[in-house]
Amino acid sequence: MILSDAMASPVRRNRSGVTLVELLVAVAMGVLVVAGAMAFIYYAGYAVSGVTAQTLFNQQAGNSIEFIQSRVRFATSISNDVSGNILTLGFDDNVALDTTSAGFNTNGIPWDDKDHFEQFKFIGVNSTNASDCASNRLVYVANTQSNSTKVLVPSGVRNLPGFKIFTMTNQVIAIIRFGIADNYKTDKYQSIDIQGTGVSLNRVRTNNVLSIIP
Amino acid sequence: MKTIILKNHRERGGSLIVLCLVTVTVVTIAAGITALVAQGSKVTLSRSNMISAQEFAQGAAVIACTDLNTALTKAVGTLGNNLQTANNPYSRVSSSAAGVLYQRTIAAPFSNQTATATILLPNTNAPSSAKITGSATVGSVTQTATVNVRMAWGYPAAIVSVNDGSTDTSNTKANGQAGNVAIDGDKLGPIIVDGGSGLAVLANGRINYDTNYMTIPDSSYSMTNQGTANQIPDYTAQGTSNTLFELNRFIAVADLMTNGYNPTTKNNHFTNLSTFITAAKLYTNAFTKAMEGVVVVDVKMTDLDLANLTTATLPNGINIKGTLLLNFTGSGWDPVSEKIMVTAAINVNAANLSKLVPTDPSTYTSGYPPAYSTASRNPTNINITSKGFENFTASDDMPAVIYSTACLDIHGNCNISGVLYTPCYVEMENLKDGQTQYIKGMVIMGSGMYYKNTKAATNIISYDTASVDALATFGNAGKQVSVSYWEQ
Repeated sequence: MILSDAMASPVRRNRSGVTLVELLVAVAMGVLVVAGAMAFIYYAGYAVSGVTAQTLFNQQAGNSIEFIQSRVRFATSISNDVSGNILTLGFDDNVALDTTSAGFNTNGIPWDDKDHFEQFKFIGVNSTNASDCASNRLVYVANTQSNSTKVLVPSGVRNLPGFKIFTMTNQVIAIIRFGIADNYKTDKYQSIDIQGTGVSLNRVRTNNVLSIIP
Repeated sequence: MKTIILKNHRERGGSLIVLCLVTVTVVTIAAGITALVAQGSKVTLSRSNMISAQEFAQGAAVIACTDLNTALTKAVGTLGNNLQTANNPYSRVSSSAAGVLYQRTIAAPFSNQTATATILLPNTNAPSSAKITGSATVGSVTQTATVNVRMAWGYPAAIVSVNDGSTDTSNTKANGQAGNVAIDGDKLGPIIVDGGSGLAVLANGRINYDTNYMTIPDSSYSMTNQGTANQIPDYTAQGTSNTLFELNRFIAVADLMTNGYNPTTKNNHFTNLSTFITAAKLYTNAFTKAMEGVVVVDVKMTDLDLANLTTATLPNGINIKGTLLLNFTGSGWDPVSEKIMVTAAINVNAANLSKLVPTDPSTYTSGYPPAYSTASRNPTNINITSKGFENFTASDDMPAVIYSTACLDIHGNCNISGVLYTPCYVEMENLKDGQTQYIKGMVIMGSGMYYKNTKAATNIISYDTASVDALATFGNAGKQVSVSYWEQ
């Protein structure tokens, strides 16, 4: 015959519970474990946020400058505005057709025309301060005759200290410098600074004149 | 009786669940971060590979351009054969309507990297263009770069002088006759050499000018190139393979081009100045009534009309659309000291100069290419194969003025669009107030140049790529591979 624990030993049954001290210790330990887990998850979340933000900035900056360089490479003209916030590129749409552009006569060279213009625009406040630049954007205008734009960097675009976004050298080389930063203190303010050079392979030619003019 | 005590330990299950949840959460977070970082690194690596591949591909395309240029400027052999027998030989891969494709793998100068270069040449005897593609793979990323090139005039400048000249620094006529480019101007009238997209002057000898009136940047000209890596080959050695133009080819066209105004031969080949003057008098307007096609005038030292190309004899000037070849024949001529002076206006492919502003190069218009009134006047429609020459093609740039073995001394007005070429000496002297001497194209000579305007007159020589690039030279002489545009 097998008796249940209760039937077999009624006295021992009372001893199988926990004392208050044991309970408190157990609860305390449980709370510690859960708190530790929560803290881990909490900080891990911020770490993920930081890593994600940094990765996003890296890709946005890399993609943007790579795209700008790829467009500059085939542009027939490059110019920037005085503020250095707009980079304007000219393109020849038909290399077999010598078209008139910008009021000038055709020059007999069919592949150096400027049939349409594209722009890269920095929109916002020129600053290096992340909090001032939260709403700054970098956009691409595929054709200046159209209003449609494509956002390359939706927020946080800022100047590098002492530099304009777009700088020109001899109408041939475009130097692009900008940073992206967030204003999110908790994930320790992620940011990236990037600069690169775009060289036009289809660049304009220089003029050389020798003259005596009365 | 045996008593077995059954103990329940239910509280342990709850601990395991918590432990599992924590473990799963930690592992998930760690895996997520790892995946994110790994993905980011992968994208970064791909971008890095793409940039590297792009640069290798562009480098391969540029190397192939150099290979093609080497093959083009080789004195002998066809372009295709020269590519296949080069130090870094190309293989002929295929041939189609699009052209013949040549290919080679490029290792040097790259380190631990190869790239492939292909050259697509049009399927003609003398290709005037080519498409070159470089391709490289780095990691798993392949990039290509395509550049379109043309065989274009390789010495872009308004004035090209191949003579080695002298060390004299004066800007006198004697200095020009010594083989230099002497520019003689003062405060009275503009005398301009507009290099445009090329140089103003490119010379093996010196360029001399009056420094009291002219300050020019060094980058506008290139001189004393004789004996240097930049020496311009002497393309003015008539009768050799270094001839820039095969004069008999032009004469062949003129022979087959009818002209009822020629009182003797009834074609565009005038065998003396008298018949030419007779016909030229009837062509009274540079734009609406001009002699058309290739016009050849034989000039002998004994010609009685050597001094009759004047405003008195030809008040309306010499008006031609096409090419004027002054063929100095017979004995007695000299490349420098012998000349015929012309005061009559010389209008060849005349440009509309009604809005000319000497200080504004954008107003330097061109009359090139000429618009022929009938197709039979167009040299490209004249079949000269029966005379043993290759026909001119529509893509050829025809020179405007050629003269051989002596000097055409231009003293009056001139309005020329196109190339002025002579293996001899060039003299352009503006000797009268109010005159305009205008050349839109290029001047290339073998024995120096004297370019003068000390009058209240206008002198302009302006380089024009459009009339020079596809110059119909002998065996592609003077041509080099020139990049037209890079393709997306």
